[in-house]
Amino acid sequence: MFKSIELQEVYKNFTERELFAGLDINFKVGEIHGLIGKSGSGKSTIINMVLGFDFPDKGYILFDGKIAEAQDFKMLRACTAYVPQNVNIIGSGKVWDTIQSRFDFKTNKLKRPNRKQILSVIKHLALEESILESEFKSTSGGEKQRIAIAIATLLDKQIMIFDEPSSGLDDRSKEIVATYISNLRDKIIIISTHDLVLKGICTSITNLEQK
Amino acid sequence: MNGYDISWTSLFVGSLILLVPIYVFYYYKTGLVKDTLIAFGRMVVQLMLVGLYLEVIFEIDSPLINLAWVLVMIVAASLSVSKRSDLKLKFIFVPILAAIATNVVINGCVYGFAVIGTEHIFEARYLIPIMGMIIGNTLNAAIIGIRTYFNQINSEYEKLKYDLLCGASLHEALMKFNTRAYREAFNPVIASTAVIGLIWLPGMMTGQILSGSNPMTAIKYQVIIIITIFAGSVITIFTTLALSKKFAFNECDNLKTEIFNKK
Repeated sequence: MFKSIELQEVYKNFTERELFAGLDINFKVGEIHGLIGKSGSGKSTIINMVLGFDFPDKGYILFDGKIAEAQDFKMLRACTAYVPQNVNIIGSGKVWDTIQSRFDFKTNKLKRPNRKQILSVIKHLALEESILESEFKSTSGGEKQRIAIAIATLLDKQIMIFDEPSSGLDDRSKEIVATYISNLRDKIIIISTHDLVLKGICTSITNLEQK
Repeated sequence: MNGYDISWTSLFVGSLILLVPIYVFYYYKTGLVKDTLIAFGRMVVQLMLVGLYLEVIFEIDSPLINLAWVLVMIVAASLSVSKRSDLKLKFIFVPILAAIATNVVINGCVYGFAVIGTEHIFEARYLIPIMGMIIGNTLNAAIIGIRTYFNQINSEYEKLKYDLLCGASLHEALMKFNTRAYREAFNPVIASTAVIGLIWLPGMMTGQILSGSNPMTAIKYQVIIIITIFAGSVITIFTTLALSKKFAFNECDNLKTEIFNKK
């Protein structure tokens, strides 16, 4: 169980532009941590560094106070549910199959949800039951976003990372997603966003435009 | 029974048919004329040199020299597949070399223990043409399979990352890319295998019949050659992809982008 994820004195250049110089962030259990900033301010880079897909030029990533190594990143990923910025990549076929395919992986097999559990989650996200029989590709951007959040919830992981979860959402959907995330408990939650509604539910914030 | 030999003049006159594709390529400005001339020029020179060389090798017929020749074929084939894979040679050469060598060893055992017999397998007249056929005919499928696999991983890397973040092991996340690689590489082979004998007669069998062999003997050889080429192609792709995981992904299971040639 991870209690904290820390970026300590992180320096990172991106295409010869300095993105971070001595960045410190601490993501803790029970918090909803917002990474706020415009496009290109480094929100996704921070998420990639936390997940071990990218690395600081200088500085450290610490899990529970210990410098993270390759195996630690793999372990962290196993405890993470992730909602990507581009939700088009998450599925194919029917929505039901898109959800179920995530539980074909060996580590998730025992967590495979039944119809009742899936319905309970999608209802909280204001999705209709009939969407399960729809083709994933034919659903709207906002529906895809909420399906991705439903999958992340059903995976039942201790860390939840939302990369721009408001992209493609209308105001009503934003409210639904914000309420839903704010009701999640006992998790490390990271949201990258520039949206005011989602900013409002964050219990701690790193403003990347001031870094 | 001996076949009818071709005179050098007949070979030259017959080869003039090549002027047709060259004119078509030239007329449609395909940019393929130079490559075609070089490719066919190389093919003729290489085959002639091999012909001269094989005459010597067949004369000596030493198992060690025969094996050394097979080794040369394995290295040359590995270089050819590596260069056309869109990947940097230093990353992909070793997996491909190991894969083609595995193919040769396994198929060598099939011919040695089941088809020709261990007493004949190292003879030049069997070892060199059979291994040449197997290695040479494996190349195309191997190139298509390896290119498809890595190009798809590169273009759909976000999907792969998402699978890893949904709890997939690297093996599980790579499964669909393996599936596509085998489909791309083997769909055309399966389709063409299904019509052998109906629409076309394979080159080896035709060559044997033209040079005077009994047709049924030629067919038996052809059947086992087609089967072993097919199995060898699958073995080559399977081994390359299995071994390349270590070279293409780092210890965090991240794709090493430096393995790709810049386009």
